[in-house]
Amino acid sequence: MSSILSSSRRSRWERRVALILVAVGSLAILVPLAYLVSGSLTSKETIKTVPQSLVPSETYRTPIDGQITFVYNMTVNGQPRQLAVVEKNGENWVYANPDNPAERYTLPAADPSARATKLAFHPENYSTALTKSPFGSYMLNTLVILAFVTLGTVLSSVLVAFAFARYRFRGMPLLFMILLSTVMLPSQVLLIPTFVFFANIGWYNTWLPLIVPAFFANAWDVFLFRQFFLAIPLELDEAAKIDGCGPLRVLWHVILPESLPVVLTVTLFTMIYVWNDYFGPLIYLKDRALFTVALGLQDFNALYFQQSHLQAAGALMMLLPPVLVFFFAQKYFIQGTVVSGVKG
Amino acid sequence: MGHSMAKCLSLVLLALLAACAPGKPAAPAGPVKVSIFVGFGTGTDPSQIEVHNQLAKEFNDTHKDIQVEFVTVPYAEARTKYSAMVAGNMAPDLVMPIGVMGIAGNYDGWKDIAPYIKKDNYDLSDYYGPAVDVHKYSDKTVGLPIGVYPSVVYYNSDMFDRAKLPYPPTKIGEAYQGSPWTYDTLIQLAQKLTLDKKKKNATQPGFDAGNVVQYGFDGWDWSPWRIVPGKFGGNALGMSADFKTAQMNTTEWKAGLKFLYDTINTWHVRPKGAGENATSIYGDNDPIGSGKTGMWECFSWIQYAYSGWSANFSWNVAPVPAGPTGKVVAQANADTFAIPVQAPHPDQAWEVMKWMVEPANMVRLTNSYGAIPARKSLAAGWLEGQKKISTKVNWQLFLDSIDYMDKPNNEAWVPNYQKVWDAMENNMTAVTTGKVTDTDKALDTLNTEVQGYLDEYWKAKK
Amino acid sequence: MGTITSQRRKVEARWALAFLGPWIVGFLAFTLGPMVASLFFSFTRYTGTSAPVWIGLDNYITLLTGDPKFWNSMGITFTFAFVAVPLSLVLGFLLAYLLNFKIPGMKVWRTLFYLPSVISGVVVAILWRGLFDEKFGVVNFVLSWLGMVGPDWFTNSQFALVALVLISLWGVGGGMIIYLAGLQGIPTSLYEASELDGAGRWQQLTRVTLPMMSPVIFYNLIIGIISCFQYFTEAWILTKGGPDDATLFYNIYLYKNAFLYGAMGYASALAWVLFFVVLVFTALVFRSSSMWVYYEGEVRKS
Repeated sequence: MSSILSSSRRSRWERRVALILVAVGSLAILVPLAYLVSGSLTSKETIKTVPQSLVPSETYRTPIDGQITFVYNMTVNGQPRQLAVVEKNGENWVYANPDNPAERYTLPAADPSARATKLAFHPENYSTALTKSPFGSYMLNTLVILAFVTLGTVLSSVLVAFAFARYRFRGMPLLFMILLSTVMLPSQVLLIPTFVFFANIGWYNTWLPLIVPAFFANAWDVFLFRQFFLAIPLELDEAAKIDGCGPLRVLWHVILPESLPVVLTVTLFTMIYVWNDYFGPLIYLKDRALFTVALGLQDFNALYFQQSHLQAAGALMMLLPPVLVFFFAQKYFIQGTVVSGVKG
Repeated sequence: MGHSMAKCLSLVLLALLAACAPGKPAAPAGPVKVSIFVGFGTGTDPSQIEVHNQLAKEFNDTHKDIQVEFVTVPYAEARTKYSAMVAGNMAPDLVMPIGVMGIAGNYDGWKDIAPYIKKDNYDLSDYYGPAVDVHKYSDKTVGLPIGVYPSVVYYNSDMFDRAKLPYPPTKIGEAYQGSPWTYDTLIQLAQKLTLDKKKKNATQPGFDAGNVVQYGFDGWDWSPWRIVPGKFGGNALGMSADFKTAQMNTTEWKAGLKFLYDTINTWHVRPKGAGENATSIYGDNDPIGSGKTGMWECFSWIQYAYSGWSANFSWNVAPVPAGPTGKVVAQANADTFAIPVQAPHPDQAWEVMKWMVEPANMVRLTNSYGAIPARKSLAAGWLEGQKKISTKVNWQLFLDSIDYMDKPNNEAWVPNYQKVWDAMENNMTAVTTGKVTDTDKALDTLNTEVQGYLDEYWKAKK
Repeated sequence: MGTITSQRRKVEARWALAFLGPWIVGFLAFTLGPMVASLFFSFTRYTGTSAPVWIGLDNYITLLTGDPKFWNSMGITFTFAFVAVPLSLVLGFLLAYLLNFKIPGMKVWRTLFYLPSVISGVVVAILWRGLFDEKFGVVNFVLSWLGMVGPDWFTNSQFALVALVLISLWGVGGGMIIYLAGLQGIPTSLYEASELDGAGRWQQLTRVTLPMMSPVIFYNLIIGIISCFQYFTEAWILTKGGPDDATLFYNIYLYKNAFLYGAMGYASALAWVLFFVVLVFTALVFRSSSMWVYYEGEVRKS
């Protein structure tokens, strides 16, 4: 029997359940993110304290008699007081009132757990991370590479996928397998031969090894496009052909409009890949003036010199643009055109 | 298919073949460009890059025939990029700074600079003897020393205060409370510093080894663990001098591994774990910095963490204790330059190397790296600089420890270097994580495995 | 009749090759050479920096008969793939399904779940190292609410792999988008028709949604398999193959051989063995696809 009557009530109940599940699941995202944010606001000295705290706080230290010293939460005559250590004489330490250094007390040595802490936010980490290296020019470099690679990838992958989706003749399955097999060989063993090739044609220390191959189709994207193209009914193609469209116009007028969501998805994926890619630039670039943002951030991971607080700040800044792009562009490639079914 | 298609394909293939033929670029007239590859060790932080660039500028301004250029690669990927560059006929002329481990990982790829030293009658007297020796191998000398990083025992003096214990000795050879400063003494001290949740220490009855909140001692995680047998009088190399026979299950080696096992399971002064990932104890690879360890034997390059320590507790340094044979072995790391075998301009690279280790230049490098300069004449300046970090820490101990550097160095080359290293690492991890309890048997297994790697190496050499 | 269709076939073939042109040229120019080179290296002893020495099939023989780490790492990678791929497929689909409902704050939720896949693998790894800590990590904290005592994850040879699987699932939002794009493409007319036929939610899911989504699911399955066999970054940063080789993924073992052991030739042999394993698996999944993947617009054999 038809359940249309209860469908609206049912869908409201469903939406509630979905909301609850989603909200609970999102904690798995928010909690790690909170630690990342906290790390980005911590100072260099405290980022390595254990346990990592969600709220950036620092030990309260104050200068007394020209020396910076710790302040502890002590109890004097039953009253809680915050006192700074002035002298350590083995078992008993001498403490002073931070506001009135002349006021002294002699009490037992304090435990670090009694150390006073205060909230300490260091938003300057963000500006430090940005200025330690020329991220302005790195950003420009990244955008240029990004534009070319995205354009080339989407353009060429669409063309190649169209062939695989709409043409069928002997050898196509084999070619498709070859296409897929190109990503099955681990890149570590391809690295040196590829590098030697690019070095020999003089493309080392240029952006060319990063940009040019993008114009020759990306196997993953071809595969994805092919899957979506295959879902478009042939009748639409036929209708266009009857109207006199050649293959290119079929592609432009039929396939692409129906595939706008996936085209935009691939565009987004490619942009994010280039944005985060530091290995390609690392291998092929020498002059720091040509570096990208992702590669520039690797500077904060030096041996004996890890600057985890700057790394965290940098990582958060890095993920902001892709996230914002996704947030605002969502409606274009998710709530895109709904394919109206052909009756019958 | 069509002839046009075939023509197209053959054109592409021809282009490919042409491109694959290695071309040798014509030697340009004018100053020789020496490229220095940074990434095998430290030196890749923006502040360090600045120091390098400043030095490059000064060199270039004063030398018309040689121009220097630094190529900096992040440490994690340096090996990969270096291999690619060498394979692509783009080997750099110099690599710096590079530690003993970096040298060993690519041992056959470095040029012997002994002929250069001889030809120029280069004066090595200002260098610490052990610092020079560590870069001398049986068949070659790889570089001039830049800096050294000796080991000391860092300790959290606040913890000693709370436990009401006197601080460890300050000089090598000093006694502690009437007993000589040996590992046995250290362990006993460490037990008093190891506390469980109820603040009982490891010497007291009722001590709960399953709920330790503070540990007394840690160390040896940052070096291949073959330094420990060295302290026990064994052969730190772990094999015969001709590198053909593995000797990792000798009495001294077994004593060393048993000692490590006991520190965790019998005396409870050291936590279980594989180091890096036990963040509750090791923080970010820094047991002292986590505030949970009383004493930590580590190299001096941990200098970068000093400000974090000072922000949280008071600390000082004690000498590395003597092993059961009474000998003090303060293991050290050392940075140097190296000239790749494939370097296009080795002679000029040698000139650059000499300039970089001149006292006025070397000191800027070592300050940037956090190293102790390898020249004795720079020791006083180093002490002055360190006093700015803290006036309480016993900085002289670092300089004294240089004379006790381990020989052969804990990172020194052995055949099939990385495989042997991994085998030793796995062995040590198996003991520290508790996977293995019979340490003698573990060493017998390790010995067989390493012997296999040695055999594999020599077989390929034939 | 015969000549017209064969002429049409030729024209079709020309168009097909024209469209395939970019890929074919790129393949010959950028990919084929290095692939052939690495195949050549697999028959040599090659450090990567000095000249390769031909040794024939020695690498392959050693690999199959004399190297327990080969089987070990293959086993670990297989285990990972067989656990992580199905989980990520189900989770990704579930996520997309839930986020397809008209719930308030839809855009925010979607962005939130998408976020982890945008963060670079290096940062993800470092972040999770602290969260999996035995005493202070959030994961064990949550487990303690559920009454369990969490293990010492990364220092425990039995649980290190589990931790890595969980971390890999954190980025499942990336695949979620593809599912969402696919879900949007299902005509509402199909749902309406099924409702008129009296279909409940579950039947709609299994009779309409899943079949229409099968091309996308198929894509994620293939990509998932191939990616799992190439898994490297997070494991390399967090465990480097440890503790005691418990997470020695195939690619980690390969990387060690290529760049640390000076055995690039052996690494190339490892690479090609992996290649064939993945190829066989992919081919099998493709074979099976005709049984469960439904394409609306597939060109049928005439």
